[in-house]
Amino acid sequence: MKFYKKISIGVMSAVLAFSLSACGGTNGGSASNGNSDKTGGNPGNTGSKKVTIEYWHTYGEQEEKVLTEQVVPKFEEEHPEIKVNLTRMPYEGLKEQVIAGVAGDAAPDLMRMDIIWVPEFAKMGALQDVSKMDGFEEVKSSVFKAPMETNYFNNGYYGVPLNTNTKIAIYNKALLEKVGLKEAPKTMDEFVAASKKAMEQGAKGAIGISGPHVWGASPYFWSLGGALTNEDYTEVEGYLNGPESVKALETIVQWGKEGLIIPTMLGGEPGVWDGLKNNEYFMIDDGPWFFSTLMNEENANFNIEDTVWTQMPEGIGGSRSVVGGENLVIFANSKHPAEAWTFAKWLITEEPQKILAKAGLIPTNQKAANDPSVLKEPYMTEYVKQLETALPRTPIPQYGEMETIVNLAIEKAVRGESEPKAALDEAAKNIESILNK
Amino acid sequence: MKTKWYLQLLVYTVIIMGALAFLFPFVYMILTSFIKSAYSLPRPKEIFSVVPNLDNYFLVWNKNNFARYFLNSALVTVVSMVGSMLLGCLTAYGFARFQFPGKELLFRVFLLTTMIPGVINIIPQFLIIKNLGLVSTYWGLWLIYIGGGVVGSTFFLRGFFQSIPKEYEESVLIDGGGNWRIFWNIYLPQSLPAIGTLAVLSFQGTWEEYFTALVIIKDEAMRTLPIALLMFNDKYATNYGWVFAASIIALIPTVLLYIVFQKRFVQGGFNEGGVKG
Repeated sequence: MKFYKKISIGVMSAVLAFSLSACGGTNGGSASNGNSDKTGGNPGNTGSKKVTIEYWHTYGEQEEKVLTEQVVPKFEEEHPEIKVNLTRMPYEGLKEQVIAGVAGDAAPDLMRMDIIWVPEFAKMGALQDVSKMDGFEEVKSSVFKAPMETNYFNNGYYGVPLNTNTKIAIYNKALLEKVGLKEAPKTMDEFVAASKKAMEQGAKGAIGISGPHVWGASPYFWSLGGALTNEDYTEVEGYLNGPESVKALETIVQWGKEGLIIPTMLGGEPGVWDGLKNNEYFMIDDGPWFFSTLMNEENANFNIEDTVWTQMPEGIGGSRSVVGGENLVIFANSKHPAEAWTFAKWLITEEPQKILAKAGLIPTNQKAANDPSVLKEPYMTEYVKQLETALPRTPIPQYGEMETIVNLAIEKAVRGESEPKAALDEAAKNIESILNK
Repeated sequence: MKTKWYLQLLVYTVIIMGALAFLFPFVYMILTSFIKSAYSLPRPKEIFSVVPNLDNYFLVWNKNNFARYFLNSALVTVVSMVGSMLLGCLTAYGFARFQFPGKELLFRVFLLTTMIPGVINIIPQFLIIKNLGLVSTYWGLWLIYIGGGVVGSTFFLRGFFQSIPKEYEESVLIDGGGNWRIFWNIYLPQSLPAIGTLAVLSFQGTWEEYFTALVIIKDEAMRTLPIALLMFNDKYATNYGWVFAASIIALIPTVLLYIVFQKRFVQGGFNEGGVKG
């Protein structure tokens, strides 16, 4: 029996070693593959043969329709030598899909990915540095700065911003009137005072923090003066747990104690939109996707007139929100990097960006974003305005791990399991240790 | 002795409450599937006033290539179920009845492979499938599903086979039958309850498998049903009416299979009385 035990441990470690070395080996292989491709010149462009590029995207249903029926045909008409093969990927397990694809040399040429993933994949060596590509400077100057910066890693740019978004404050009009306001509160103090009144009037929740995590809480945390890192994203200690951040988190915890925050934050019912529609929640925050989904949907029984949407309330940190969105990246082992770049460049020019804006995707191209036809969508103006002051989540390769740590600190604090200062101190220490790894 | 009426009442109350507790989420799911535009989970008031209709069902059937993926899944699942049952039975028979050097060791190595989480396996598996040139083919998928399924069924059936009395074999040998006949005419019929159970588990496992299918199949037209299901989960706004309607359609084959095989689960004891003493 003992003998078997030993053997099985031996076999297990051999299997593990094999699978690990297999991953490592191919990672290196695919990176060198990409390099040789790049130096190998410009395949296909000069020949008459049609080149097919693979594009993975995660657009929703309405958006995909616009992409396949309007955007891609337009590109193929202008560039008859390139055919774009679209594959819609489900969001579940997507990151693992991409890693498997990269390791097995089966990644597509291009992919639309969450802005927060780019530094991580760039560090892995999976993406091409597009800043060395033809016409990059022009592209860079045509788009908004903040979304562009989410592609930055190690002195290079590993993608281009395809669409951007942020969250704004959305109020229930009936409850606003009930607390005696004609328009939405502008400052944090007015907002908190109105929230208290709304709760007295029988609302079930007033401050719309959707969950104890960075995406849900950061707009309030930042507006209250908190910070995740220093401005260069290099230091956490003294910023995440600095006095302003501690004060900000303490304020949020205090709101929670007073019952001002919507129950959704800690997993309670109703959900954010459900509560808002039923006159139970005073305010929530959300991105533009919901408007576009709801307004393109029949029998959505949602009347946009019942809500007021506006900037996040302004605290000592300003009116802050969080930048979201997607970037377009080219993989290192792309077989046709030149054609992929042609398509990427084209997608962020004015015309295609205007078409996609109709599906609710906020353009990153400055001209397109300020075009009257785009701004006439009722919700677009407020989002574009909020984007001017919105902040990105920390664009570093370790962000995935960092976010888990910050989320835990926020959750511990709002659940009362830890004092805000202690929670942030611990988080800062843990993040420093992964940054210095 | 007759059970006292109040004891009986108590027992029935507990049983009925238990059944309701299990049924309730399912009923809730069915009722939600009748609601249009359920972007947040509907409230009890909405749920219990809904008029049953099949609108969402027709809608999802025509969305996200659902019908196509349903048929793809049927093909993939049936072939891997039959394949893994057949190979699993043969392997289990070998492990149960033959003596060969290193048998126990081999069996333990077999078991070891089931203890490695699937996510760790996926990259090596993908590389092997790729080197065999089977990416984006069902052959590649079948190889992984059947290969994975054989281990589980071998483990399960080996114990079952070992419990079958050796005397049956002797009777076949006396009549001039070989190993194949013993396997086919004694072991398989004797083990139908176990095989039926395994078949259902194997069907369910493959029918619901999402991750491997997505990694191996790169062609959108060849994807399987779980991928279509998760396509209804949008990154930002999910219509639960559609998700639940689609899930219920996906559930039907498994439920049908359970009903068909249900008798097999309980019909054990074929071999009782077959051996003297």
